[in-house]
Amino acid sequence: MTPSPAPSYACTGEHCITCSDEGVPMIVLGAARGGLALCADQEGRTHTVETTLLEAAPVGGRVLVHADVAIAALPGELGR
Amino acid sequence: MKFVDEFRDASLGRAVAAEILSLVEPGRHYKVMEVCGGHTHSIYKYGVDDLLPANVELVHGPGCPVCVIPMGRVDDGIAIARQPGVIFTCFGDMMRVPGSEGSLLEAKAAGADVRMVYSPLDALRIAKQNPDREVVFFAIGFETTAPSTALTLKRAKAEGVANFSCICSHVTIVPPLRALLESPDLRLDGFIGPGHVATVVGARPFEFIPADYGKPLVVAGFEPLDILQSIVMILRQLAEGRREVENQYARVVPYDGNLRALEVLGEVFELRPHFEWRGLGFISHSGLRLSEAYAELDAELRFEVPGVRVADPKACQCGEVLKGVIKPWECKVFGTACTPERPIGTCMVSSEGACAAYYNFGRFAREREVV
Repeated sequence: MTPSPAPSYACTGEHCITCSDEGVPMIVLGAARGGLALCADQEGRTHTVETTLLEAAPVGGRVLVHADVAIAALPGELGR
Repeated sequence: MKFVDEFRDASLGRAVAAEILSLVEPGRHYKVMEVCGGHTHSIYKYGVDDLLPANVELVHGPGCPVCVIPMGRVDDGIAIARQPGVIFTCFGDMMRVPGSEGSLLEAKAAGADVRMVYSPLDALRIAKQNPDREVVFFAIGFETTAPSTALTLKRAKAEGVANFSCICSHVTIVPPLRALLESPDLRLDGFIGPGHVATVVGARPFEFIPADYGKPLVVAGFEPLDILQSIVMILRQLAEGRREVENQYARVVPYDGNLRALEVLGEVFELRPHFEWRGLGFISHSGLRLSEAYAELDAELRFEVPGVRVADPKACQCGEVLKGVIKPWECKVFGTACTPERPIGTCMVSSEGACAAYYNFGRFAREREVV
């Protein structure tokens, strides 16, 4: 299935940042310090992510991130 | 890409669509509400509705946090943003939501220091960089977003960031669903439940829907096949006479949610007695405010706000759209006076809003042709 192109004035990401139900899968790049860990999204952009809501966020692990907070650990490979 | 491509596979989609066709009774009309704006966005982005039989209708629910913010709350935000020395921060789409005298974007154009952020943590960062300014974050969103605000407030308190505060417009998902189910002008057969809200709260809070109202709810993911499969699960329940909460998104959603997140929410927030929803009116215990322990970070206590209820524009039918009573294109101003570039109603502001989703992905022209 191919997504319809969005017009130039529309949100061009997978979801608008204000969407209450956005979840961005990321991979943990660096160990958490002070509850914050360096993570990367599918496009390779890095983010500082709060990981305190997870039991563990090991380096190489996959997490689901909303507004810079990891809300769930993801199994397997990177995906939504 | 693993876990993405297989959920967008067109041949699998056609197979699931055939299963949907096999489950519907000819002559019966099915109305299924997708609660979440993220689902609405995916449905129109991928044309999921085109794969459904004509007698399976998707109705768009109140799950876009921008769409449910009433004009009075926008006015409250603008009043704070106009205060001298204030840096007012909010998510991008919130800037375009019209209040009674314009939007935050217009307030910014008029000189207020309004800045877009991607997370509450960004707002806290701005506060630390500007210790001589008051930095206010306009918090909106359901239970998916609320933990992010809660953790930021905890961090601000622990680090003693005294120039940071929050105007809290977080809402909870269960009360509006109950209000919708009590609405006499709405007939629904089932619900597609919000996947990432459920990541936080779990699937259990939705059990009242089958128990009290006899409707199935299936918590679903956001890829096209997730949504199609959830429709299959709803239709199968209806065909078999079952009414349950099922979890299609089990690869992410634990049935009991994220207990740590729920604990943080309970510490930082408390329920408001009432909260106004655009189009739905006041709903008891549906909004969050800062708990007494965090009152020092409450912008509504730190600043004077009008706190006035403002009626929606008469021409705007967002309320009917949010309740699923009319389709977006049936609104009198859809696509004419109200467009994503010049929204009258909030459903046209956010790309997760039902009206914007219809408009942006070509449903406008198609539906008008049908008429």
